[in-house]
Amino acid sequence: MIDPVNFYGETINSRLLIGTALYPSPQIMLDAIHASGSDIITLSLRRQSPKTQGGNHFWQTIKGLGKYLLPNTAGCHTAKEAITLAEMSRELFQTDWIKLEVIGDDYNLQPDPFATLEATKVLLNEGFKVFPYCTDDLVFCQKLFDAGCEVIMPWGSPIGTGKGLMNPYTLETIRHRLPQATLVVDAGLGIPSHAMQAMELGFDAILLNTAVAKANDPVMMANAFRSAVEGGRLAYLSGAMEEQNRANPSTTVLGTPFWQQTQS
Amino acid sequence: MSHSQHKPIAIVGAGLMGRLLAWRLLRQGYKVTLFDKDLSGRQSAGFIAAAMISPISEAMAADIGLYHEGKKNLSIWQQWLTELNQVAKQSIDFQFDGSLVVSHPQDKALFDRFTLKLNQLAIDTVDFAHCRPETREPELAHFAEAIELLPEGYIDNVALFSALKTVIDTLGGQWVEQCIDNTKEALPSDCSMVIDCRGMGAKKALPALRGVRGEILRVHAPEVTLHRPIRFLHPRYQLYIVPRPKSEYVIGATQLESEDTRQMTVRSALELLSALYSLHTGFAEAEIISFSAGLRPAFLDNLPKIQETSQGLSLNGFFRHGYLLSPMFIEQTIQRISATLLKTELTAC
Repeated sequence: MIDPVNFYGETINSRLLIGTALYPSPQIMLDAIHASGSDIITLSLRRQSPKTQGGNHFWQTIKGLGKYLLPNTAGCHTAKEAITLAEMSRELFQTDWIKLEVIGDDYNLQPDPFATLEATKVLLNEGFKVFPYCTDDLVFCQKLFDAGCEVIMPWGSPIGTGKGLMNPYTLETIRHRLPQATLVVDAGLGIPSHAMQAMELGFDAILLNTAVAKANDPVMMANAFRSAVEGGRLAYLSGAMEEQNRANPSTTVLGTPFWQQTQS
Repeated sequence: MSHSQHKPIAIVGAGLMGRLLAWRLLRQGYKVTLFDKDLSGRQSAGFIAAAMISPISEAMAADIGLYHEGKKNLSIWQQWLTELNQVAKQSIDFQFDGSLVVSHPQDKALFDRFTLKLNQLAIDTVDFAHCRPETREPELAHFAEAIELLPEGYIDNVALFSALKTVIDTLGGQWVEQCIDNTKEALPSDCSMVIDCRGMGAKKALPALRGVRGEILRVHAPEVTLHRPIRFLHPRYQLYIVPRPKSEYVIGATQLESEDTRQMTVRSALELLSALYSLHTGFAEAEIISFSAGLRPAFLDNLPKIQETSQGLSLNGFFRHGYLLSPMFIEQTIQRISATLLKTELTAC
């Protein structure tokens, strides 16, 4: 069992947040969510006709899990679209949590930093608890934090690419510079070792979807990510040794002739 | 007692399942009455669909079982369509000689993944082949590579619906245009069994049933010649272009977890049209025949079920697999009907 994490005052046991898109069937989605051990489930509304409650059956299925819901604004391209959708989702799901996603580039689904920050300020002002999806740009993250976001979610790499942490250095910098923020790596992870690497860097949690949903066996992959996130967290807490160039035998070398010692 | 002496079997819902079931029952000598709010069938999921039969592609997206079951169903379809064409004296266009999978250069990773997964799922190596696309479809030479999936094809479903109507009439099936909201209240009491094939119309009776929105586009493109279904690998959708007689093509389909039945959205139209244009520039001057949207009836596992009801059976939840899985489900349904009626007779004796 790992230590819990805090999201806007809520104590959450699992450090893995999971999405609800692209699974072969809703049943496999439910089984995968269960296997992931996640307590927070993200879901998108944009293409499911929220105005006519078109996705109601699907949303009820997800609500039935009894987990924290984190509605998202996936598919929005302007601050205005995202704000409207956030307001609709607050009404539909009775939660002031919102994963804010404002896309600036359609090809790699890169967030628009300016529109994201603009929407963040409006939504925080309206009482939302904003979980902004952002790039791994330190200044962008800093400004989101300064605006009042307690949770910040930089990407590992573009959504759905499975490339893992493209730039561990920038992520590590964000961790060092924003020690008070709850930091989540959101998007771009492909395999459990990517999640583990992010957790080892000191990130508080992982949000993913495609890596599990598109695996040949999503349920088993959800399990694998769960273990990786837990392993990464424990590794971070346990304080890793420093990497060094010179091999350092773990057994004593006393009595070994000096010419063998220098070769080692 | 011969089947014709039974009271008629009421089939509620005259879409793909209702029609197929009526035909197969009638040819075994049962009496059948079909009920639907719209006997043209135009509102049914099976009519709106692109009517592809693609065991490999569907297995790749969902469950390996669809590959094995789909292949068996394909051979039944072959017999059924041959028979229908003879009996109905119509020519339903169908082609089961394979489909082609291609991808844009930027989605090469998806193509490689598709190849890898064919092996991981142990798809029989005689069922697929890597090829130069122009060796199968001469007008697709601009794609670098393709995978041919052999046990796949399509049926012209508009012609199929019409042929089934003809053959049901010929065999003495009855049609009643009536909306059956509740099968217990609305049906005549002199039927032996009620088989519920209403699809989304049965939502009240089947709370676990949900609708999955699909949007589809039909065009007339005389400048394009494609013979087989072409599947485009795309990170978010299963896009395909399916030929129809007289240079028509069906392009589908979005898959949205929504029960919204409004017309197609601009975004979906843009996605389908851009897929079409990027496959073949000859589609630029094609005439758009229709944009349609419909709901696929599905259960949580996206697999169909035959369930007992107080009046008979319910056959529902075909999701995107109506054409892929229907023949064997129809045969199983008939076996269960036959067993139930026999039991009723024995009890009566």
